[in-house]
Amino acid sequence: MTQLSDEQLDDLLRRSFNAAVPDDGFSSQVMRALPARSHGPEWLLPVAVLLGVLLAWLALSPSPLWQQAAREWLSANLHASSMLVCALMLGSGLLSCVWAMEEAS
Amino acid sequence: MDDGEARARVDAALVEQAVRRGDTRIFEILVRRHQGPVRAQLRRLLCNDPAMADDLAQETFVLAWRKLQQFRGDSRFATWLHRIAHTCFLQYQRGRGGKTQAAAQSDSAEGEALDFGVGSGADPQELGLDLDVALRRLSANQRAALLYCVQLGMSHEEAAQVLDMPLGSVKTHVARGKARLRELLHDWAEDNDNRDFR
Repeated sequence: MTQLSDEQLDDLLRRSFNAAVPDDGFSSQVMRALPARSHGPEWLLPVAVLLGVLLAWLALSPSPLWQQAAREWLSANLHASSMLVCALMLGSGLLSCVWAMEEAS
Repeated sequence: MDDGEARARVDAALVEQAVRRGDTRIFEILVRRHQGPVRAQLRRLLCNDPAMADDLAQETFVLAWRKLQQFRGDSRFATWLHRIAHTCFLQYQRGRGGKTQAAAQSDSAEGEALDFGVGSGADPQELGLDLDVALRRLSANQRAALLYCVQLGMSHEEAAQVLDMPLGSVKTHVARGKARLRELLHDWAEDNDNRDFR
């Protein structure tokens, strides 16, 4: 009994497969369905970052923790606890910023 | 440089331009170049449901447009596109509880007696139907591996990327799929022993 050879089987499979599907308006339909790329103006990102920093400063400035950290920093005597609080605030701010930029892209 | 490599280079250049300029007209060239194989791939995966295949193909190209900046050129653009299409197909399949028309037909084909011997060799169309029935009796992974490695002419490595599967598993699925097909088409081969396949 003869078994199909590898080449015969491959040829049979290729012949049964039609990769040349006619376009028939498909491409135009896809192009109509494409979402518009929302490219904001170039200045938007740096302005948004500056605005974010300003808002964060305004929100944090009344905080006694922040004021104490600022005083310690200005007197060049920053304690570990104040440093930790500042690092946490800075870290969460950076994370929010990265997340917002990722969402925007 | 072979034809496939030349096409891949043209694709890479088109992608770069489309990303840099955000120009949909350049992307349209890519859509026109690749719509045939992507739609054929999905038609095969969905077992010839052209309407659903076209819906998924459209979803594939829309996703490709959205993610075009993420294309790094590590693989051919065609491979990247087929991977998105395969993912769309899997998501659609999951949404239907893992049951597609292909799976349903596969179930019904289980009960069918494959009548390869009766006059099947004379008519190429009939032969195609026999092969379709035989293909539906393979596992989904075997069918997909044969689709990418044989019918779409990808390398095993490319098929592994599209299927998100280890290279060894792809090779196994191809080998087992072919062995099963040989088994199923055995009667047909016997009747057509002297037929010239080339």
